Amino acid sequence: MATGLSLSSTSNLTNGQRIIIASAKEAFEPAAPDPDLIESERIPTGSKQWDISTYARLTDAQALTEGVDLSSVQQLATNTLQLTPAEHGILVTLSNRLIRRQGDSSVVTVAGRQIGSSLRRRMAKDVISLYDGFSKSIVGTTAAIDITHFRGAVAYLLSDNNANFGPAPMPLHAALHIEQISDIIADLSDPGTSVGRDGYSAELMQRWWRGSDKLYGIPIFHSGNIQKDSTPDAKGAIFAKEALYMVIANDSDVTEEDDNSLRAREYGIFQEWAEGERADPHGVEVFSDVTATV
Amino acid sequence: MVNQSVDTYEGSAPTPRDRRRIVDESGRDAILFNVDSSEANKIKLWDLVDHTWTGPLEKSMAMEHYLAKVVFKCSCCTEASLHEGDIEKHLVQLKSGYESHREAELHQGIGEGGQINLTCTGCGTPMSMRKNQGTKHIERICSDYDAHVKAGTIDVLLTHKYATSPSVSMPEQVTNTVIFKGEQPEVDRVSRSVDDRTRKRRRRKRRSR
Repeated sequence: MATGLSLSSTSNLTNGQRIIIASAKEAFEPAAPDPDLIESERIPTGSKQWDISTYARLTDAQALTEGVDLSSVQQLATNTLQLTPAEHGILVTLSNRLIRRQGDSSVVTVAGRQIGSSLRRRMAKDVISLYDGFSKSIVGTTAAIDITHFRGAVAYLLSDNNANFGPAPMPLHAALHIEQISDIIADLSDPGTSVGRDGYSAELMQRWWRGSDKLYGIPIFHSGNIQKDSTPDAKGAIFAKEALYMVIANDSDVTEEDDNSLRAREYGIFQEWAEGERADPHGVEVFSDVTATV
Repeated sequence: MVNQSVDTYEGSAPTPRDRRRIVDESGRDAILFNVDSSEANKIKLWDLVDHTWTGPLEKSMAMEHYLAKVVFKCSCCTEASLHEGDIEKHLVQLKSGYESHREAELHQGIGEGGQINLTCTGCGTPMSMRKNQGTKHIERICSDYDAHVKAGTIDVLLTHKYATSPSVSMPEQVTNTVIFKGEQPEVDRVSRSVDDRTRKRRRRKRRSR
């Protein structure tokens, strides 16, 4: 017989000790508000493409002289955006054995949630790609955004700079990286700036930016899928809702199919959409430094 | 992902036979397939203004819309605009910004509630202490101005905003050329003002003898 103190790890005693498996957690999905910030249309069944035309404005009316014929005639002209929805989707195949065995969660439920989030993230990233397409860009690499940039961008959008599109119509939205929002909060709540301890400044000190919070009348949304580059800079945007368009052909189509020879079940989610820029002058890219504060 | 350790296969949907092979080879219980058919139809473009890649754009949109975009651009920096005359305004702003900021400093004062606040004496803008914002603000205005002065001659270019790659040269046209002269250095200016001062001739008093 062995002699000495018996520990919890002695010999085969661990075989009698239970392991409790907690319910599995899922990676948190960042906010993806971008598709909701732009104009969205639904393409009806039987159609393959959505064309959006924008009439350019005519020149100013002329002062006339009685008895003199007005000889010059103005012509209507349009800019057209053509959108043809493309398929997007993701598929998960779960073996029947996995579905039976997995004890910490319902893998079918988890898979369903995950593919739904994945499709939404894809849609948000497609919209984010359009932010870079705006010809007007503010701030610039390695510089942090401040509220003066933001104020200037709003004034630019509301200025009548362009005969084809005119000034940007309301509502305007801003979609920014969280460090860009942090820079704006710093401007609004830093004791060194003009704002005081009361009101909005004090509120921001106590909470954080919320989706509906506004600066100069423009709601700023945290777009969780805006990526930072190696500098690190990131590209967000301030834009009129009608500057960008999304055309959706169908509701997300959820599929489930047995593959008996594989002893597996296939779950998928599919949707058709397309996105595009209707009015370049109605948006401003915010390209700025997003170096982490800590 | 269902499980972080599970391998992910991306591409078009495999046949049942391929799937069986993948399952057998991986020895895992769950396989995730990404079948985004639109991915093959997307390309990234090179932004000729800020020298970065765009996100993936739908191919026909990229070719017909984005590659056709032209902007007015400053030949010395990344300032670009859709509108004619904006680059000239940008140069005027650079000059006036420098004039108001060349001797600017950050004024530290006591604000509401006894808080310390920083204000740029050049433009009166309240500055955040975070990320050394005030110093950067003044330095950037002065360094941007200096860069343009060094260039001397600034071309307003009508150029494409995007190309398919950084190596592709796109046609551009010079629409205006601005001679951007800097101010004389402070020392010279002061000494010139001394030299230019009209000197009064002293009258000699005649001694009455």
